[in-house]
Amino acid sequence: MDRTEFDAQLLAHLDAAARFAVRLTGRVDSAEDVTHEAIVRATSSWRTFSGRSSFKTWFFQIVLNAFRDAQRLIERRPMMRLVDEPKITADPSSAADERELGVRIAQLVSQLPPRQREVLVLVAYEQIPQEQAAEILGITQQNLRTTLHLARQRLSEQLSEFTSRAERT
Amino acid sequence: MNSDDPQLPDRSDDNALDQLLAKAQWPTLSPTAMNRLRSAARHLPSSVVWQITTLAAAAAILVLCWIGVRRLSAPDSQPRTVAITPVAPQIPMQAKPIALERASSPAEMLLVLPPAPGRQSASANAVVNTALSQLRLGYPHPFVVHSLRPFANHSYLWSRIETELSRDPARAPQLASLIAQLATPARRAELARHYQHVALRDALLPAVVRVFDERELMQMLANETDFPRRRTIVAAMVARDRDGQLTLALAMNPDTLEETLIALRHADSPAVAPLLAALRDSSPSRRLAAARALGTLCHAGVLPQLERMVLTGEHRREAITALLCCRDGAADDIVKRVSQDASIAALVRTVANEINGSI
Repeated sequence: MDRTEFDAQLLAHLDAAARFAVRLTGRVDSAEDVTHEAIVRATSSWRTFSGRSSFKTWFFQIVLNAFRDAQRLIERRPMMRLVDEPKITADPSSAADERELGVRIAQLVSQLPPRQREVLVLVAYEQIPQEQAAEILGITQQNLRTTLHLARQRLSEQLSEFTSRAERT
Repeated sequence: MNSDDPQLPDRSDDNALDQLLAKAQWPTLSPTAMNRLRSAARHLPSSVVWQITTLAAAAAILVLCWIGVRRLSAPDSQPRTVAITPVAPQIPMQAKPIALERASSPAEMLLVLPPAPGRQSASANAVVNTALSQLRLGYPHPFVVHSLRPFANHSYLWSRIETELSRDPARAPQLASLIAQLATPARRAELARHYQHVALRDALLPAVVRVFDERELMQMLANETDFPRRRTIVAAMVARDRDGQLTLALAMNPDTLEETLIALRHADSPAVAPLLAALRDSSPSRRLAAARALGTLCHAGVLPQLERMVLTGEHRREAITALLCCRDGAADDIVKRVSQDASIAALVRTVANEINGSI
């Protein structure tokens, strides 16, 4: 892949990368930072893209690493998290309408432990096949399935009232 | 949702959960933010490759230099001290900062300090991100940031700052101060672009006068209307002027005369000899400009020479101009002394009237 093609690919996948970052971080400003960092990393190491995986897989891997680095920074500085990321009280029963419920679910997903969040977002929302998702995350498919199960289990507990209501209907 | 897992026990509420999860709605990046990202994607590539090569070479040299310095330095050498005064934390801290030392500078400005021995290491990007986060969160005393490593990825830094500038203009001056401290001659273009923002000019001016050459400063001066900033630019030009020609040119220009005279008054070691030589220049305007500049400087070592020029009649008018522009008791004494000659006294009165009318 030459440089021109690389640039075109980068721009073509930018929207998807930004959306991925939003789902990971749960915040648009953090997502912009993460995406920007990913762009910088991708452009500075574009020659390392060998074409073995798809461009999207490669770029998402970079977005993911940028997200993890940003998370580490926040974890090092808990006070930043306190200011930057106020605790969201996820009480589905108070959801007044569908939209509010959607926002709350998104918040819950974005508050999952990072690894669970990464797996769920990649597999469930980005519709990445499990094999590719495992490659992006650098884990085995078995590990991915287990993590996905844990993520779903946790969300299921948090949304139990709604899942039972949905079952009844 | 393609999250079905055949290896895990089936759950009756899987479908219900899938339906719920499918409803998740995240916020979306604004068109402006997306444009910023697209712009970054379009503009970063061309410079990054070149910079990586350059920085790799520079890094190799730096590493070699660092190793050399470490070997040469005595084992008990004192660590470099940083001229800041740490203050008691005003923001509740829940954990000891890693790689960053919390402190506040007296000017409450964001400082990125050079590498300091004994500090923990942090990646350059992490340092910048932390600093910017602190600014964005509106901390009253932004941290003074220490980094063991010099900033390697300047593209990242500059592009981040541009993003921040468009995102939160209220913090622009603080961000500009960060730019100012990191600006190098290689970053002229970025610096010039940011300097177009009037709100940033005061913060960027120290970097501008440090980084730009005389020709660029002269162009900047032509577009600058704020007198204090003009004074700063002219002072920088006068301070750099070793052969006195630039100072003379500035002093000859009515638009820059006042700033030049002020700069000369405060200059540490202005070029006196070229100005003295210019008193004998064939151009009357250059002679006059040199006389005014010399008078403003009022250098004690020049006064006897000026007196001699008055007495011998060598460019007497210019020498008198210089003496009259000098607000010093010794110069006044010389003027009184030479004015005992009636013809010189008449010329002194004429020159004094000219000066009062022109300055």
